[in-house]
Amino acid sequence: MMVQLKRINDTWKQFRRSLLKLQIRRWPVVPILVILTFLLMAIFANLITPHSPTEQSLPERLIPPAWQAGGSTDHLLGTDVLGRDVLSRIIFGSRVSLLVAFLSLLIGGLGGTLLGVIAGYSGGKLDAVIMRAADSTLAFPMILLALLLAVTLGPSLQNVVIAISITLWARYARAVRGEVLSVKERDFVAQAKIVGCSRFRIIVQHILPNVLNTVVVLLTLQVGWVIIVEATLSFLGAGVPPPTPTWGSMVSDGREYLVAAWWISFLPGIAIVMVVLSFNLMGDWLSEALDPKLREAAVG
Amino acid sequence: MGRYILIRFFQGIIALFVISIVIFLLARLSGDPTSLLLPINATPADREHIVQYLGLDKPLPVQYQIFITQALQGDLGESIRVRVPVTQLIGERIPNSLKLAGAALCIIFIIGIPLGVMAAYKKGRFMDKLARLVAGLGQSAPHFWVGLILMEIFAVRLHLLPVAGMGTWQHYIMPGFVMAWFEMAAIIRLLRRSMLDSLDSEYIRMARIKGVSERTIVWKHAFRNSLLAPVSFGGVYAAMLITCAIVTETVFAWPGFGRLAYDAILFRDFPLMQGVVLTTAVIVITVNLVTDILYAYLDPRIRY
Repeated sequence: MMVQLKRINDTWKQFRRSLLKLQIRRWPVVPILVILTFLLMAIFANLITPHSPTEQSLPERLIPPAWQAGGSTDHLLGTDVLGRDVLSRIIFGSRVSLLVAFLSLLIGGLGGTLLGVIAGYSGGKLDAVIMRAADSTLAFPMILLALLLAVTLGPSLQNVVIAISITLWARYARAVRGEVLSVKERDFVAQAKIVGCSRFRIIVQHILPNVLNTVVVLLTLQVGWVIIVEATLSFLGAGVPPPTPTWGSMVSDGREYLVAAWWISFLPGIAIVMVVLSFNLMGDWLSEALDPKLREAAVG
Repeated sequence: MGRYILIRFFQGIIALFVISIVIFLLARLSGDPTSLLLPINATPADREHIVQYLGLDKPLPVQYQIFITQALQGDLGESIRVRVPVTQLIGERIPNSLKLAGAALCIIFIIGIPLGVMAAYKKGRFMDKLARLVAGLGQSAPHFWVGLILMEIFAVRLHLLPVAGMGTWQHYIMPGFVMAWFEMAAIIRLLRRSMLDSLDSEYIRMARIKGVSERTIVWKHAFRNSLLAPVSFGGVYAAMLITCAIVTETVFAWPGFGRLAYDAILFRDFPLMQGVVLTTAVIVITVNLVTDILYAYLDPRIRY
């Protein structure tokens, strides 16, 4: 009896062990460095920006980046049509992108996971209802849904987060439910029930650690996509409203000046590509290390 | 098999109803379209008149009932902004979007599939790295930005391609490519992985021992078996295409369904919004259904 109890408690340890198996020498160094750079940029934005991102300066409009003729080192990446420093705006824009991504994934991912566990473990009507809701949500093109919600609720940070979270939860719920269904049948769960563990304890101690692999993989693979969705919403005018600088709205602002001042639209896009590419690469590496079968589940 | 189809079909219908309720409520919640329609000096009487004309003064359940009964008869109402039947607007725009989607699909198949297959076959070498670079960038670059940059380079600076709008075949190149890139990236990666799995399997080794030519092995055996994985994502692709269409069509001023959706949402045009969302849902659910049936047909192990 004592030996069996010891085996039941091993599941969290197994999860930790699988995390530690990510050997250091095979880490994707460059993507991680890029991500850390942007993270630090976002956190310490006030301290490192050369100018204020919202301060307009009409005499200094449309200055090209420092390496072009007419540029100056005072504005390394140039200024936009209202004289605002592009570099400072990109740095502050990283705040919005990363914050929205983090919050949406937290809410959508956690909410979806919770619902997936409930659905998988309870079965029956509750399961059916949750899964039908998930299917309906997934039947929707994400940006259409996010646009609708963002426009309905009004443009603001919280509403963008809510809108994106709603488009995310269904994927987690479905994946987690599938995992729970298979874990539910395994021996150690039956043993736990025999020993008399409460439902809550079974879920937390035994089901969750086995499900977390799936969740972590999905999360890492979706960060890049969420950042792109936020940028797209901002570009279409449904994101965080001005004067807060966001990468998407910067690209949109620069549309009219593409010929005369290409840097206003081009440079924020480069920032997006760098961050998203790094997150995608890191997500790939993490998912290969944790659970090779799951990469395909999170395409798009 | 028949039972499976029936079950999936009914699930689709239920999903459609749920979506219709959701969009109905969302549209009403999104704000008052009358304020956008009326000139500033409109009197309260004018406002009353418009509200009555649009049927917005009736209680919500009644409005929903009217909406559903009309929809089931094929009447999706009239656009508030343009005073044209919604079905007509949608009907005009969808063929344009389909043409663009067709161009995108061509690009995906012509470039994406060979890249995916070659990436697996020449794993680790130049083709593989190139394919993975294309795929990686495709999934990292936002459509609107890629579209703008391409426009800037090829249309404005080099004058090689037209800037925007629809017309000759040259108009299809840039928007088509922008729409294709993201999905192509997904296909390349999926295909590459499936092919790698297939090429490693026993029966392929057996075929090699038997002396079957490399070309037959790659294209006839491995490729056919790898197709299953990308095909199963058919429904996801349809949703993705509509998503991309909204942005791409807005950037390139393409008179398509995506742009219609965007305008509808922006102008809080209830009937148009509802029509657009329902149409989208029908398209996606149908594609999902067809894909699931196809998948179940191709792979006898899958059953509900």
